Amino acid sequence: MKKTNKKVNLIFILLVVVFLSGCDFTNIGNTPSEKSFRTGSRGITISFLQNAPPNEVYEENPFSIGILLKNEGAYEVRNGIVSFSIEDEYVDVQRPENLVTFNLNGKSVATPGGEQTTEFLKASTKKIESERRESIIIASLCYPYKTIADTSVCIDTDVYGLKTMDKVCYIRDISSNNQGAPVAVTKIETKILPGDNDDSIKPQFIIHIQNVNSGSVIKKEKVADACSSEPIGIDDLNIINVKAELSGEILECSPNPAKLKDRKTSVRCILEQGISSQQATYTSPLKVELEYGYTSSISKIFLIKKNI
Amino acid sequence: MRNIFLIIALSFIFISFGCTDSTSDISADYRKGTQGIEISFMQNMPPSEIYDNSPIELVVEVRNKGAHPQIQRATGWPIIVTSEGRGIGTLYLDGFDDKIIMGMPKQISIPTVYGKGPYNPEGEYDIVTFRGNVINLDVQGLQEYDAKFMVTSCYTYETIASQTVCIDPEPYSISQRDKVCIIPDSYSFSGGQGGPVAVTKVEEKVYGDKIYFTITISNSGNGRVVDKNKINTACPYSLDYSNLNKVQVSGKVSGYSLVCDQGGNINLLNNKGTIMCYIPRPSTARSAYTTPIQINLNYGYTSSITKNIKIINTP
Repeated sequence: MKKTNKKVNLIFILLVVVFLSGCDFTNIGNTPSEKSFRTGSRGITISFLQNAPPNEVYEENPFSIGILLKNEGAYEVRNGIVSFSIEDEYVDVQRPENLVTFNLNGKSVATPGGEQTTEFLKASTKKIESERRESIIIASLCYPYKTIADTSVCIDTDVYGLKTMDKVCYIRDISSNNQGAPVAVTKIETKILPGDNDDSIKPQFIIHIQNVNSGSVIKKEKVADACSSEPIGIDDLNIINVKAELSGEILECSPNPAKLKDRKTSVRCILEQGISSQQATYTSPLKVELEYGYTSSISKIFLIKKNI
Repeated sequence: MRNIFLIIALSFIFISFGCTDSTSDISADYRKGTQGIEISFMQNMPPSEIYDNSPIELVVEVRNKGAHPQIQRATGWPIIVTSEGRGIGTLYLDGFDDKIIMGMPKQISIPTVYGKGPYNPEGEYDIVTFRGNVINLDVQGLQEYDAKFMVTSCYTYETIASQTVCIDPEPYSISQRDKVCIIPDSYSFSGGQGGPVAVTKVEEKVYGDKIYFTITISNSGNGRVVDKNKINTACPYSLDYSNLNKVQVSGKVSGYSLVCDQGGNINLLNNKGTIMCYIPRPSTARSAYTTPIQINLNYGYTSSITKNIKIINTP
């Protein structure tokens, strides 16, 4: 009986050891945060579904135009628009304005792959005169989107490097490729300027922005117009609204809105009220938020055949 | 009976081998090494990643690996008060954004930790805890924040170096009189003397009516030497170059106090410095003799440690 108890105790101790060896007490581990999904240079992607439209359709026949919309970025889209351009002489669609609207959440802890949806448009070919006729369907995608770049920056309160104390960090440029959106903050340069008095400093950041995908940036307010027959002026293209905060304090950015030139631009953001230079050097969170509209398009050529 | 007597006698001999003279601890081995107050972060206090909206505790271990302060044998109480009447020093905490980590004290006095001594060969140990709270990162719309904590120690310290030197009133005498010692080219001090600033070499020369000692000292620790008078007023945030690398040198030889250049104040250059001190030359009627020299170095000292902690927005 005693021997059996000893064995049970031994097994119990071994089990506890095995369980504990699997535990990591040191930190949280690889817990995904929202930021870990802010990778990649895509936003909403669009593609035609297989055989929708088919490669060949007989005249006076119904067919479907199907598209797959995926939010491969890290931000949600509300009131995105897909408009279809068809050749009226050969194809009829059964929906006025040829438009579909959609809402899609981006990549997140809840939806790690991002949301996706399919949309269909009923269409039919018209009677053609010749034996065969090629026709094209263009799907244009317009949606409001944003980019968030948050990072820790070094606030070195010793503007001229006169203090001899050790510093927790040193000012350096922060480079990044993308943040889970087609427009990215590619570099942040930090500069610490003297403040309005001897006891203050003004942190300034040069924020470099780039369109890192193949689509075009449009003014956020013109998203609906871009996917309609409404005219869009050159002033509505490449416009991005910039908002920056240093530890919750809003920075003054200029130019704002920013305009991309050759797909790039840079904005200067400064904390005008300044901060005390009497404190030690420290790290502080900088959050940059870009808001814009984005547009891209796909097309497919299909063959309309005459009925025999 | 004879055997018992023999056993008792042998026992006394064995016991006497284990005894030391109670007055010989002055030159004991505890005045070795080049460390002073050493600070380190306690492992996983806090861990390298924590969630927001929670309390945070930063635990700093304080070890006195040097030989100052010492418990005074006459009173049994340690001397740990500087000339300004404050404690041995202070720990300063900075490097983080106090809009995100709130309520964290920015400075805490270094607790009383005695140095290595005859009754405490390892030096004493204590901990200091900085407590605060991490805000909810949602308030600032942040997903994470990389906090960098830097703890800087600023404290006053003393190094006492001892060595037997030869005092020869007539080193260049041509008389054939036997001498108990000859002044060497230099006296070597290796391995430190229980403080981050150490005497590394002493050279002795006899000129005119004085015996000169050229004392070389070095900052052998991993921090920086600070003017001890600035420890409580400027260290660490308002230090400028004029406050650094200053050491006060004093000492005694053969009952004389050392008289040093510049009042015993020395400025280290590249962590090294040399100062010349002297005592009066003894009467030439006296023969050469050996005697201990004691050199006291008083200074302030500062060093820093850092720890990175990632604060994650709770999903």
